[in-house]
Amino acid sequence: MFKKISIIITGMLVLFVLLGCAKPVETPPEQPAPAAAESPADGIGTGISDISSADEELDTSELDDLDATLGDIENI
Amino acid sequence: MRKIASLIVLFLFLISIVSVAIAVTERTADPAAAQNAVGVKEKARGEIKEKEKAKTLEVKPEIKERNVISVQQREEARARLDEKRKLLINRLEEKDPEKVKRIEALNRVSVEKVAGLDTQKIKKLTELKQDQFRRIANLDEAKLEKISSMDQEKITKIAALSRARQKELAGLDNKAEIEKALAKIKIIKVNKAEDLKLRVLAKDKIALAKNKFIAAKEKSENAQEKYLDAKQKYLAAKESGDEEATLEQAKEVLLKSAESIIGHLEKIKSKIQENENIGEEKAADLVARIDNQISEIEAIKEKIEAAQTKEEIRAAAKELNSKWREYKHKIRAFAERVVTARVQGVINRAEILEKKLDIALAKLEEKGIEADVDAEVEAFSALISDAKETFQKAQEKLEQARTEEDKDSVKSLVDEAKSLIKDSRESLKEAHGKLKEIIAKVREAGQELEIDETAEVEIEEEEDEESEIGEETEEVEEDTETPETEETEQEVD
Repeated sequence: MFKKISIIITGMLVLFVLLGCAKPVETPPEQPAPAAAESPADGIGTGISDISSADEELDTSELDDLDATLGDIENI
Repeated sequence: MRKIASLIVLFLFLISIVSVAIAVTERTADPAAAQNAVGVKEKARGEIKEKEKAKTLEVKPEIKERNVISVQQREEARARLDEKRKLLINRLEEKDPEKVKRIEALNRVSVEKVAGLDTQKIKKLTELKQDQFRRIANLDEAKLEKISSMDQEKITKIAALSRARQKELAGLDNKAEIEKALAKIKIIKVNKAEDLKLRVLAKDKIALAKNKFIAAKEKSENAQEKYLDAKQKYLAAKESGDEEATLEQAKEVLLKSAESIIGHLEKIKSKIQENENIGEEKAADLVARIDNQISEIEAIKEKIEAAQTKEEIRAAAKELNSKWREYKHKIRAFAERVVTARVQGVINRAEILEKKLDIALAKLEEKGIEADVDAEVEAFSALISDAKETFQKAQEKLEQARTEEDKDSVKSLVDEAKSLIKDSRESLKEAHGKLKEIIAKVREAGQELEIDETAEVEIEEEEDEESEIGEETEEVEEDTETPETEETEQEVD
């Protein structure tokens, strides 16, 4: 009987300690959603980015060392 | 046992009391500290406010006076401009409300320039649409005088051109030269950049080409990764003198090299297939050329797979290297062709936007809002004109590279084209900056720049062989609409 009571009391005290030490939960302030303002410059800006991405996507520089490697194998 | 349990309970109880005590102290201490801090802050704020108040009292009359002067000056300038416009309207004895509106849409500098012309010439200019009149009136006095002395049909055609092009034509030595240059120009009417596309593709066709690009990109990256790995292993085997491993890795290097080239060609092919700024005929030609190159590399790949001996591997390497050297700059030319098609799309958009800017600015002017952005619009026009010029030169270089057989000449042509495309892109970037300045200045004047997406504008048609402009566009030369009717079509919602 005494064992049960002491377990319950211990449990309650542990809970009490934890609650006492717990930091109050801070809810971050809600950020206002950015307004999707479309300006006449947006279309041009997007187009310029598209040119850059096409340039990067089709860049052949990664194949630059093929000549040398193939040339080496030609002479093994 | 019981004693131990009691001691633990007591110990925990004490700890809980301590922790609760600390929490309570913090919580009770916090408001006090905060209150104290607030008190200090409020005191400081009060002091600052007092100081600011004192300062404001000193400066306020000065600012007020300056504002009054500035408002007065602006009002006086506005009154002077209205007076000049009124004088011009009276001088022309203009009763037509539409033409009166066109004069009212001119800015201060333009009114002065137009007022310097003789009445007959001004009357010809007032026949133009509001935005066109506003645009052409930006030419300097001598050029405006030269253009306004031409017949109405030619003035109308020049008025449809961009500011940069108007400046270029009006700068020619005499009327005969202007007329000669003008005869070569064709004007078309469009609403949006999409109207200038060289072909219209179904959405599913574009989606299919995009998916093919993703697959080709993955294939190419995978092949490149394996190529680099095989190359390392090949070099290590060669270094260690292990002939069998060297041949095995050499074969792997060759296979992955071939796959990398094919993957790259497939990427370019899918980008051509999804681009609507490459004409149908040109796209078909490019795709056929790429397919032919892919087939040739595939054939060499089969030989590599079948190679067993050192000699066979060496022969396959020689063949692949020879093809690669032959194709490498042609492949670069294909890639640059895709990039120029994108540049073309932005130039089309910017050219249309330039005309729509004039419509929007004329509307602002009419409302009595004067945003001094003509210098920026002129700079924007000049930059778009530069971008177009360098882009056209790049196209020519790429076209030459397409038919050129000599490898070195192809390389040099592609290098030149790449550099020109870079210049064209730089001009577009600068133009974008100018556009932002225009928007900011209009905003400063208390308005938002409203571009009417549905407004119809006239632009110069490209002299491109592959140009396949839709039937819905019509040439101004054949157009019999009066300026008044056209203007109604351009009304901003």
